[in-house]
Amino acid sequence: MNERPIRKRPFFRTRQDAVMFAVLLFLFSSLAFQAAAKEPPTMRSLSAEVICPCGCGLTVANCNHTTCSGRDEVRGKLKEYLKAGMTEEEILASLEQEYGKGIRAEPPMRGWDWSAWFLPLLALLGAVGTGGTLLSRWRRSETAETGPRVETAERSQEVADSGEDIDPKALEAFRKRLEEGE
Amino acid sequence: MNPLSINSAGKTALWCAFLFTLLSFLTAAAAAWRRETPMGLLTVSRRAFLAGFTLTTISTGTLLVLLGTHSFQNAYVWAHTSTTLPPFYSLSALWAGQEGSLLLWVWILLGYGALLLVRYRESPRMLPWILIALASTALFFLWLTLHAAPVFETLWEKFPEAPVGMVPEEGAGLNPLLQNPGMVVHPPLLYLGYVGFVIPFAFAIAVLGTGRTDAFWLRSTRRWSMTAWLFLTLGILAGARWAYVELGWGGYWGWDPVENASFIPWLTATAYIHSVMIEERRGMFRIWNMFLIIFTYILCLFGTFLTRSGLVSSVHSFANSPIGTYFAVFLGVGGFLVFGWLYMCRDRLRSVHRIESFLSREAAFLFNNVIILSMAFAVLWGTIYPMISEFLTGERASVGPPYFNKVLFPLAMLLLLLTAVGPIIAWRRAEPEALKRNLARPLLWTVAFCLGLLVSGVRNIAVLAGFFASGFVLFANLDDYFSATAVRHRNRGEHYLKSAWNLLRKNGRRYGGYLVHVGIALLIGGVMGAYYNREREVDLLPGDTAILEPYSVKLERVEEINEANRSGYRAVLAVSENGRIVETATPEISFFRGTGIERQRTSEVDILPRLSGDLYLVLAGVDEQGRAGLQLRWNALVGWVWVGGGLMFLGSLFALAPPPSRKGVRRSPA
Repeated sequence: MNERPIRKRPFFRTRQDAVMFAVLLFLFSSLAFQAAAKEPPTMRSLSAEVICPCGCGLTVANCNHTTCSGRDEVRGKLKEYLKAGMTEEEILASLEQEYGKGIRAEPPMRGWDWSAWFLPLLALLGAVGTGGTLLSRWRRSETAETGPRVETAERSQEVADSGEDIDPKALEAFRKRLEEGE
Repeated sequence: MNPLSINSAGKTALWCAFLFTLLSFLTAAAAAWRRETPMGLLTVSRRAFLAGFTLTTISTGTLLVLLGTHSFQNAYVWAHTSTTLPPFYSLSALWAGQEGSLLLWVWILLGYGALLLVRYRESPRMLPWILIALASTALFFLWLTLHAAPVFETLWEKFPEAPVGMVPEEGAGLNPLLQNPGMVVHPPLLYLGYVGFVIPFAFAIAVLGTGRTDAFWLRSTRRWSMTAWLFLTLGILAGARWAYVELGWGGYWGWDPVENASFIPWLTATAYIHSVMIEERRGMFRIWNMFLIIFTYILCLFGTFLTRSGLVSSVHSFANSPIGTYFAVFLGVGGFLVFGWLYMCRDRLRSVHRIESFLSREAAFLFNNVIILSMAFAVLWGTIYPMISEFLTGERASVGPPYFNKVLFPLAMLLLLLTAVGPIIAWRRAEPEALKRNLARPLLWTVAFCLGLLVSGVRNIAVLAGFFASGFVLFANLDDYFSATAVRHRNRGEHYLKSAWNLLRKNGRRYGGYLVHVGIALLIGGVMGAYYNREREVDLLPGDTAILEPYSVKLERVEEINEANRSGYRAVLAVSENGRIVETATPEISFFRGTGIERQRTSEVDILPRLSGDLYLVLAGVDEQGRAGLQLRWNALVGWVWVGGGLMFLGSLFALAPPPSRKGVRRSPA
């Protein structure tokens, strides 16, 4: 009985799968980096996470009203909670209970508010996927038509984009023709 | 001359401008309708447009006269000036309110159009369509300034209960936050940027109208697009600087909806400036470029809509007003028509060539566009999310700086990596070996730079990643520039510095772009520095000292301020650095006069700038015992934001400058 040689299937079927995987990996590792970079809550970090209830729309850290009762009230509470040893999420949850969801400077990652986080990621993946698909398709058809050609970066360093490669005579003739038309 | 007569003259001039612009629009439409361009109709349209601009200039001039002479019979002048306001700020009140800023907008729009018409010597077939696009937008804004937000309304027309002919002795005064030199330049620069995109937009409409789809329109609009981008960049930077020195919270960017409204078109315009290079060189991305420039201009209008509709709460949005509805209708109908038209023309706009390889500059630019557009979407989504959330759930969520920082950070890092690779990689298809060779040296420098940071105590992973990405951009662009300089120096025997200058001057588009990239790298470095900011709040009596390493601040005395337009306090502080007195700082707190803004207080901060970081001093208040409440902040590396911004400006100038002409060769007008 003839045994067929076992062909090892590549992990990524196309290059765009590899690009998508790399983008996903980068995004998640970046979020993980940011999470890892997070340090224990301080007055400063918490003030940047909470919107001032005075209605200015800025965070408590940024509210620039010189006498703002709303800001001072929240700051007082933050000091109290920090003293009590509460974690950042416990502090934000307590404030949310008192002032509503709008007190958080970012939408919480739950329920409908997931979409605030999820949609930009989805848009990026969609765009990278579309770009990658187009590129793969174009690359196949173009290579079949023209064959490989290489232009080195060094050549473009001197000449590229200088405008010197536009034939000035042709341009002048073209402009004259237009002026005559007018 | 009687102020009422001046007011009437301004109003009449604006009405006449409207009628002339309408004539320009109608005759341009009639000219576009014919198969052969009728030069007579085109001349009428062109001259009517120029007349519209002249009349709007007269109208704007009359408003400036009314503002300068404090003619409070005019409701706008009364609402935004007072007799105690310095003349400089009286004139800048032109853009302090909604009605005036709309007039400024339309004046700039007509000005751009007039400049184009005076200089334009290319295809007469495109001109009717260009005029249609320019005049229709101008008509909308002129109608707003005449009807929905009338700028020449008298007090008794605005407030029917006021007696006819009433002249108040004092005006309400200018918002104190606007009484700052930064705010004098920020709005006009921003408007020059926003409105500037009307020219490439009008050319895009002309391409759709005439079916002339070659890269001609891109060459004709390159400088216009770059100029608009430059003004938008400067406007955003001036706004950031104003926020830094005037708002007193120590930052320069708060992800406020109105800030975002200017940042979104900046992003799409940046994508456009990159992707047009591919169309010019390789005839690719035609439909994409059309989409980008149309979308950018619509986003500029959308930003204005956001500012004026009252849909979002912002520190600098105008009050809720009915013009938001007009904007929504104009944007909705206009956007639908233009994008619908673009869709119908899609077959004519197919690319001539295709991308051949993942390892090519075209592919790098494609992904650059993808990431920039994703960033624009993320900012747009975050900006409108509170409204959507309220509409769907009944509860308004807030979307502030932490959200934008988290979502945009990874995208910005990806973009920076592409910014480093993009200029180095070859067109069409790069050799992997050559690419590796070109990237090796900058990568080595970047790794060395990050190791240096690690050794000096930087441990935060996100901060290190940010410095790595911006360092890579910096070293990659500089390395390529200096390599090219060396090649030129070797080949032509010029002095090395002369080679460097000639390269920048002769190939300003490319190397000016490099300078912009270096500016962005430095700016991002400055932004990353915020992680190391420190602050203290102290109450000091005269003679007391507070310490914020390496500075110590001693309160010498508290002075009272009593000027024509404001009163307040000034803290005189002796600032020492490492034990040596380096400067006397004078942060102030002001109460501005004016009937409408009585006792409104603002902080005038004092800043000791250093490249390592600014010492930022705010006087929060003074109590009855003369005790001064002070906020001391150390803003790490913030100076690099302004240095980076300056380089972006300089690089854009090089990119805009025409290359020196060769003997006997006339320069391209684009």
